[in-house]
Amino acid sequence: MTLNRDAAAALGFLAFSIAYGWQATGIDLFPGQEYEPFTPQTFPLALAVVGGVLAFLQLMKSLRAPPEAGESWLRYDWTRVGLLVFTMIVYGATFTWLGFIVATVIFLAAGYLILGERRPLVIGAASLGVAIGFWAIMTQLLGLYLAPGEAFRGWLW
Amino acid sequence: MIEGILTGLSTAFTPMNILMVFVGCFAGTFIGMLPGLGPISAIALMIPITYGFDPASGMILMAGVYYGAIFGGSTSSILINAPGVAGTVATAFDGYPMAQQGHAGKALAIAAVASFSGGTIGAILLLAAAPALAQVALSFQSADYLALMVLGLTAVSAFTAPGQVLKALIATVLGLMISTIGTDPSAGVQRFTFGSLDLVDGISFLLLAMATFALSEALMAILKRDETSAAAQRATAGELGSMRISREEVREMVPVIGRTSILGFFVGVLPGAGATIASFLAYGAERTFASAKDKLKFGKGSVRGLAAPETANNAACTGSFVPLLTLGIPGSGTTAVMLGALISYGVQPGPRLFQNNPDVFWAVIISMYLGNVILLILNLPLIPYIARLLALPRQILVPLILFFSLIGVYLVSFNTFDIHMMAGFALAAIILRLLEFPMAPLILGFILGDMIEDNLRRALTISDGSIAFLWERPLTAIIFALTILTLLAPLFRILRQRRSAMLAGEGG
Repeated sequence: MTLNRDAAAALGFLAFSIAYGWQATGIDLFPGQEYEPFTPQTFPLALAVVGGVLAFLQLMKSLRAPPEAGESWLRYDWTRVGLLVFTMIVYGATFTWLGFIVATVIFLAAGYLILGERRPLVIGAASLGVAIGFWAIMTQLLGLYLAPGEAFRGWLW
Repeated sequence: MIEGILTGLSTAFTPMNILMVFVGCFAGTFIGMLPGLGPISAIALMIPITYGFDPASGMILMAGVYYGAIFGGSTSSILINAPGVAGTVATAFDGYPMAQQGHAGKALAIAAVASFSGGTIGAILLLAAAPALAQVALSFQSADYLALMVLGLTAVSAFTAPGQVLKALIATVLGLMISTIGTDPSAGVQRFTFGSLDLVDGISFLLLAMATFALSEALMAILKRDETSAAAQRATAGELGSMRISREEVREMVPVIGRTSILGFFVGVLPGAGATIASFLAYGAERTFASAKDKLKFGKGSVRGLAAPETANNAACTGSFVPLLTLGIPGSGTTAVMLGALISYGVQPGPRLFQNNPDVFWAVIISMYLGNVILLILNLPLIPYIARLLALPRQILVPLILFFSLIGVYLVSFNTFDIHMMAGFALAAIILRLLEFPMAPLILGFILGDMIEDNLRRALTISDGSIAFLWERPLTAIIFALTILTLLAPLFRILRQRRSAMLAGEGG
């Protein structure tokens, strides 16, 4: 028997609720706190139980429902979305090291390229313009600190 | 009350705050027009900008954004039949046909006048209802608050996704679970942090709202190869036609506006119901009560059919502020994000808001009225120009939305770990959206999580661990009974459908 998508999701949430509940039992308590009516474990444990029950009900519901031929997920543009998420992660990872301006220019230019923009002038202007404009407003006008870039320490500043 | 209104007027009518309303309406209209981005994203994107403001200005800006986003959603419903917001789906029923007949300008004008009237009547009702309810709410105890919040969560789950109540409830519980990450507020012990210092403070609501709405909505448009922006460019490239509304049309609109604004307001006050249900109810009611001749016009560009949902959704938006301002309990995803923003300004909404921060309370109400005026007289003539902004190609627009979402969250925490968390949450939100799990209950659960735990702790401690607090006070018992009824309502519907199917089967 193959699981339909809803049943798989319900099973996933059931497993998540059990893992969450199991983790909740490990939350530290102060000595004697276990005799109190409410401890830091109470609410998470209650949520784990409610989550488990809901997931079980959803599982039963989706197993009883006739399997639907939903839209195939394969026809979606996963490549572009995957690449965009990847650039977000790289942006986060290089932000402090490259500094706000360089990291942002790279992030924006990569985003435009991934989505199909090919004109170098547009890519350059729309990434440099936004990064420098935003940097100027934040640091010069509002006096906020934005990472200047560890990589350029001793070289530029 | 007169004193309060005067306080509100003096706060709202400063040049800075009038500018806030204008900027809010403008930005909201623009973001609301973007396909896929709704009011929650619009508000979330604005929050980082408002952190430096005083709470009244921040809330005024956001109220403007909210109205603007709903109005922007109506614009894309009318022009390209692509409602950016669920609350404006019913607007497209008659607005789009009217635009197709070459009267796009008139359809926009009717929508603007209807929104203005709905919002204004709603603001007047709010002026009367909110202080009265706040007085009553002062006598509420922890158990009542707990019951109200649980009712709010179940109602939002029951109404946001008809037929998918279980999924909505699961999303709510997931939101509540995410809210428990970090340091426990009462005992100070760490929960679910796995030893990571980045998680000790918990997950910020802005991060979650931005990742599950702004980021995931922008990425979903790419994922599904949404082509609505091309349609928007085509629609706005042409002429919109005259914006004049004839005297007969005004005469047709007035009674509709009167009826549906009151209906919309009261539906908006109910937890979970909100703009979507209000607009559909208003459309349905107007069609039912129309004469046989008028009924035929519905769906083909009827003035009544356009004015009814537009009035009701704006009145409902105003109505949804009643529980937020008086009880501190948001009845919808949008007001939940506003609640999160208020808490981050250091303002605790609830019955005491109107005693402790009367300037915020009244300024928000007055600014709603101001927002409506600005939408009507400034935004309407600007619509053709705002619509041109949509001609900004998607390959430029989406990376910019991603950038502003990421940097907005980063600027609050100055921690790059947040950028990674956002990427993770956005990806998870996309998967959940594809599996048809609604996101509004998740964010509502997350925002109410702390308050629910706090009130549950107090209620249990007062009753010494017994759950008798659930039925000891009649008010608590009634609210819990309503919660159970809300949960059982879908079951009754299924049973009734089965019975009628069985009867039909026997009859056939």
